[in-house]
Amino acid sequence: MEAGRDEQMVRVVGADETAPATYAWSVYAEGLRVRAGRRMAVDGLDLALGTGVHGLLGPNGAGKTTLVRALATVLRPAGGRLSLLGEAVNGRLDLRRLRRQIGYLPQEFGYYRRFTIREFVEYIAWLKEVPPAEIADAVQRAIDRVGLTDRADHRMKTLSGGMVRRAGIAQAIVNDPRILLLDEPTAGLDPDQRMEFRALLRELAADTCVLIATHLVEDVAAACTDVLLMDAGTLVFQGVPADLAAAGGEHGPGDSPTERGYSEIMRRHREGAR
Amino acid sequence: MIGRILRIELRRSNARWMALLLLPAAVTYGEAGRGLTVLALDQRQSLVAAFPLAMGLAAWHARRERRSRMDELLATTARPRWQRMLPAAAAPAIGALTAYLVGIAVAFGLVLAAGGYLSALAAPIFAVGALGLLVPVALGLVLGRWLPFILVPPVVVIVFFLFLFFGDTEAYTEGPDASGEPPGRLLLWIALQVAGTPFDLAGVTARTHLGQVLWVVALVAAGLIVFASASRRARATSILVVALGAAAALPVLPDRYADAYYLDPDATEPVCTADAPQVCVLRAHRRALTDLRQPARDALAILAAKLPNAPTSVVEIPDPYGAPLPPARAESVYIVLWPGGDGRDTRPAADITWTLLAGAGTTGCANAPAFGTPERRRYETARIVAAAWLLDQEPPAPANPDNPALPRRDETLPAYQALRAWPPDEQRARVAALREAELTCPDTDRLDILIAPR
Repeated sequence: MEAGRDEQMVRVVGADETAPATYAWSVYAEGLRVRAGRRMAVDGLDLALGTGVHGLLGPNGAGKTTLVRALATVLRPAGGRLSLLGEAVNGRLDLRRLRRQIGYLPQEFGYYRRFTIREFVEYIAWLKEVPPAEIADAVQRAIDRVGLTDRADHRMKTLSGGMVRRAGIAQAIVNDPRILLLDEPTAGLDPDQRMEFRALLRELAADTCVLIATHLVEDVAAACTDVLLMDAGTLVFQGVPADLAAAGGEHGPGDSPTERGYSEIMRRHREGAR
Repeated sequence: MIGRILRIELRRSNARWMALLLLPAAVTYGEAGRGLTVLALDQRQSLVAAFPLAMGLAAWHARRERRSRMDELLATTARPRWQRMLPAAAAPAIGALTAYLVGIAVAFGLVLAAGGYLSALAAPIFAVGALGLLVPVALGLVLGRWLPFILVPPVVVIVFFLFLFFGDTEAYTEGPDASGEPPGRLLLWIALQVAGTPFDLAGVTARTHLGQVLWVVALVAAGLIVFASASRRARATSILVVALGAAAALPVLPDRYADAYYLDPDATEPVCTADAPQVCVLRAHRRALTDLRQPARDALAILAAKLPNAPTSVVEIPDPYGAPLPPARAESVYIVLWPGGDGRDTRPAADITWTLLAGAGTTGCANAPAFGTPERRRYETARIVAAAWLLDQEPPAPANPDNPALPRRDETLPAYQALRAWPPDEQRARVAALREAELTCPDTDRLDILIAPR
């Protein structure tokens, strides 16, 4: 990990990285509608995200993964407005330039089993058009940051579930994305690894817009600068973790203030919807 | 960087299996003494048997993306799809070509070791063959990508193999055109073979190469387009490319399969003994000069001793395969050789002498009676009797008694005895007359020349 940080300090910084952002929000959505199959899984969602770590919570089927896939440019919006890094996502957008600046860990993370971690991350770095001269360093740094340094040359198929997840995070951050989308990144990580992962998130938060879709409320409380709650395809809450904790009070269902806040907000939203 | 990615693809794909499993088909073993062209054409033939395997392995490789559920992540990467697919497609192609290159190197080494003829005309045969090997690879990639099911690669191998096994023979037995040969469009099938072609003296015609290259490039390009692009337009384009390839290739390819070949002027250039009497063989058969020299000189000596205006040299001519031999010349005895796999003519010297002296040192006339007719047997009887008279031996039994064209011993022996019954000067005059007739080819009965009363 230390070695990785040293390298980070001397790496070449591209002009596009130092250029000031010309947009107000990394992710901006208004009345966004996205289909998942026949269902409108995201239906009239408003959202504005800047740099920082945003935790996206919500029950199964709330549309979290569909939203993340739309932001990852896998799915095209079916309606409403969406802009990423100041660029409107529509038919005319140059996706190639945008995609260079996005990191994505899918919920169901597929990988070539015969590749080593290093080869795999390198391959993704190449696909994300990281400048060739920087790829070797960028790969090493990404692997170091997820704590897989001593496993770098092992085949992907020999890794445990947690290690695969970390390799998935490594490929997502290898291009130093401006928008980093992580769908269930902590699944399979043990408590120590989760703590390290949160430290990594805090590091990234300084200059990246990180969106984490998760079921684990405590991840959000510990590492996120911002919490989003989704239900039935719309955003029902956005605030800092303390707001979420405050919403819960002392006696609702749940074992921690954040969990109580989560269930209280969901309860209120559903009652309001009726 | 692309080199680095390609190395990863090569290491982590089944490219090595492709190279290993195709190797047995790519390496040709036999007949190295007959020259490089023979091995190059053999390799073209045997590699077709490996097409199903190449296709199956490529299909297996192309399943990777969906099998590993990488498509979600890959859908979000910046690099255009075709750039990602090129190294992915290159890996199995390089594997297959490696096997092919090893095959070429082995063929080259074998021919060199056997002292066979290293014809430069083998180079384009190898090159077009290498391109042709990319066809099953490209088609396999397309199949594996569009049908990424585990059963597809093995089914592809089995079905394609069965098709080759049964389909191919059918093409040869049922597909001949009016001239009794397979039609030239079979050359779209990348293999090159037609029974009876003098491979060791042959080159493949430029139009055959060109037609095959057009067709192969169209197929490979169409495969790559569909493999590298997901769009509907790409599929339409690929169909168009195949159609254009066929349209361009078919008029270029020769009409008859046999026209795919021509006699290589280099291979057929004479190589002669330095000393007289001159004995010459074709350059591709130069190792057989050792075997021809002595019986040839024996034959020339006998002719000089027994006949006026005897020929002074023995010259090998290429087997025209069904076409009439060139008219014999008074000063040379022609012979056709079929050297074996080691490049030597292993017949006993006495047999070669017999062959040379047939018809008193002539090759026979183009207007000779048709094979299988009684007239033809009389004709052949006269030629054998002339040789027997020159050698002062009774005619031997035919090598193959069932061949209706060959005279039986009960035909040749009485004729020989009838010739011998004439006074010596008369015998010589009659054999000399036969030789004259065989050189000028009038439409007369040759046996009458030898034995008919005057």
